[in-house]
Amino acid sequence: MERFRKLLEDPHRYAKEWKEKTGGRVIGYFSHYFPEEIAYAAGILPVSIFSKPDIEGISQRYLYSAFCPYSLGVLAQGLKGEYDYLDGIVHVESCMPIRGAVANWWDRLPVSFKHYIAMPSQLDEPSAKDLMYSELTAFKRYIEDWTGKAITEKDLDHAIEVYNTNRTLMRQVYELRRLDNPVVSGMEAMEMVLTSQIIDKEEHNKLLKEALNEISQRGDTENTGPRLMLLGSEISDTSLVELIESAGAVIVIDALCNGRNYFWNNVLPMDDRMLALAFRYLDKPRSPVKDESYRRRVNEIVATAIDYNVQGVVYAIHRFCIPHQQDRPPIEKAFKQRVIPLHAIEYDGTIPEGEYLTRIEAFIEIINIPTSVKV
Amino acid sequence: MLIQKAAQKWETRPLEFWAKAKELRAKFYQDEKGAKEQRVFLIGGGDGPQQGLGPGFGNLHFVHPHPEAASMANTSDSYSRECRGATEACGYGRNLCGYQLDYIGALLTNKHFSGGEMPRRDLVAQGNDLCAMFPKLGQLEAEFWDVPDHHTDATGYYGDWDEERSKATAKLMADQYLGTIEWLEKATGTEFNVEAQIESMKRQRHTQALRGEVIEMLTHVPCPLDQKSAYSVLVLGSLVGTDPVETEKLWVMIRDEMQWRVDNNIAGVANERYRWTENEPPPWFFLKYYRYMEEYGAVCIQTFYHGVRLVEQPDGTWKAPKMPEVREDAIKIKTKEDFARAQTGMMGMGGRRSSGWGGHGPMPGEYYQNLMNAVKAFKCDGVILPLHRAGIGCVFSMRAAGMKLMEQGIPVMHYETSHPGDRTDFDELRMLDQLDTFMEMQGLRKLVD
Repeated sequence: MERFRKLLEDPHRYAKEWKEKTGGRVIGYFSHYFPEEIAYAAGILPVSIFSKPDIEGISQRYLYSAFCPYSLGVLAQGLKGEYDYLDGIVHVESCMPIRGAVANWWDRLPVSFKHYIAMPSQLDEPSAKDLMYSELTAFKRYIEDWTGKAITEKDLDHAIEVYNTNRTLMRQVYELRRLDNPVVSGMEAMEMVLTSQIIDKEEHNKLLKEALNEISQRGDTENTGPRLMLLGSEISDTSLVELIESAGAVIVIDALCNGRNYFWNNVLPMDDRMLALAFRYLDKPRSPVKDESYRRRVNEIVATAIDYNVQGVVYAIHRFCIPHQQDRPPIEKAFKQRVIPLHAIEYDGTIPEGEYLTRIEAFIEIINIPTSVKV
Repeated sequence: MLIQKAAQKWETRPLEFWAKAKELRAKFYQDEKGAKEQRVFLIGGGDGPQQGLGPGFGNLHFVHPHPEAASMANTSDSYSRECRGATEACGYGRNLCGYQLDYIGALLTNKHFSGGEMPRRDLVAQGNDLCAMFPKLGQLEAEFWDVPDHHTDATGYYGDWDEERSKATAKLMADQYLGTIEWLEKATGTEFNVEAQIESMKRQRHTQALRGEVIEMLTHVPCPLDQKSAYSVLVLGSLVGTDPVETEKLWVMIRDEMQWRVDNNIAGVANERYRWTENEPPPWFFLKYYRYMEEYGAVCIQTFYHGVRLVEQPDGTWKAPKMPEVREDAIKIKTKEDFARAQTGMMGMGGRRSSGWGGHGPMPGEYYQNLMNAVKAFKCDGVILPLHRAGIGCVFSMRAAGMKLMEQGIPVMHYETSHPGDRTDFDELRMLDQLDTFMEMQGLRKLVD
């Protein structure tokens, strides 16, 4: 487990070393709808671009400060040269603030490959599949042109297999959190899922297998506090999870874009690999911006919470994270109807430890009050 | 404060089309409130292909939240605050844009800005708005009214032109268009009348051509129309779906009046000596900033609300692009399927994402180029760009494009606002100070009358 923590301490180190060792190319991506398998099949290392709070405000030269801290932080990382090892940048249509960060990254920072995948938003429409298929096929074509190497079906099959294995292993990790006495903490799970986004999946699979073996030898754990679900905006580090669990709770499940949603569904085998990939990304657990017509997200989240026997929900939303702000009332209502307490925190990327600890401790106390007293 | 004398005083006159424009907008809101009596379907939701489909059905009245919320913020501060408070109390974040806070609050408080109750919507048709703020509003509105809703997509790609990708995105748009027509047919029990729609399209094309002629005339010195007045008419027939016949008549009036003003050097601002572009409107409750700038002899020209981007001609003049004509014979529009495909193509929908829509989409380089073209076409001396809080679509690329303009030596002022629909904490005095500094830095002082 220590290996995951070490990888996150310097999230760039692995990719830099990988590049030096293999001579391969590295692509950075911003949205977790990015079809990594296609890049991986071409021998490219895809890495998720993490955000850090832009304390100095350097991104505000190009982006208005009323963009979400995640977008500002992402752009700041680029402007500071933290990602200068990237050969390419790819974005998949998601929310507009991130698009703003991407736009300025493209504009100000040179990379040899830039691509934008026009993913539909009305995922239930029959035409969504056609567009997704077309866009993924186009992306494959552009990657082939860039690398000068055709991506064969065998390459794709291998990539899909590696990625599906990773997803299956991550689900096994998450299954262990469903137990009455979860043997994996939220912090550990978060470290695993975040590291899966910055290193070669094949290597990550080995680490996960080792970790699962290590976990299987654990006896009783101390993860006996109230069982919480973590919802909200994308999170690039483990500080919030660490803080919540330090108060005595255990996060047993999340519904974050770069948490559970990242690996929850596999690519199902089909003769047409690109179609299989299109379906996989259309069928992912939805982010708010991809849940515009029929509201599927709320019920799916609540069902997952019930499945994991969640006792409370922490809803952490970035300031100016409009899509999550818009989903907040229906989600709060749905949890209220099931008498599952929810505590919403709005933050600007930085974690005010004292304040949040007090709030989380108070929230845990509320959860621990017997239901008869609450009523 | 240092004061300068105006170099030249132009003749100016009240606008004759003004009363007609006011009448049209008032009629639109009367129709919204009287929809039930007129047996017309009142449709909520935002931007999207559905908004132009009224004539093909003849019994639809679309209400767009943007102008409605803009009117709310402009009508009464206390009413607008009450609405925003209701929205916040319901659990929506304070970080939503002012339009959403206002509009959701009006639903919750059941108060229309013009008085009386909020007219109940019969249906909701929501487009995938170019601004990220609005696509999910349709969900909320449909749930609020408990009425059927339909959502459409407007996805496009960035990057170099790609034939195959363009075909795929155009197909998506055509499918969406057709899907919207078929949904409206089912929901209203009315058959879509292709002929009536085409007739209306011809009229709309003509209106758009007239609009182009007017925008071209704004390049004239002195500018015949000031921006504050222009905003009152620019959304008619588009965001505010006024009657197409009357809208066309209005634009004929405007065109003729502008032509007369240009021929006779009648100015929108009598002491014009400085011209600036802003592209996005200021807070609607702060339109007095135009009047304040007049004290410097400054007139604002050009906004993306024009809906027309002028193109430089070989002779150095700037002209509106010619509107494609509705050639029903050539493309043989007979069915709604034909219509959906043709309309998608004519509107340039789908394909590479590149639009004249202000901040709503273009990458910084492209947005900068749009602004630079506006500076040249309208002979502007400076650029003033608002940064609206939570107006993600409005400010997308705006900061970066402003930086690029400055790098090219164009004076640019960015200013922060709470939002066009939100008076909460807009600092008017700070803004006026900022304007003074901006003008003084360019050697301009207020003019003596």
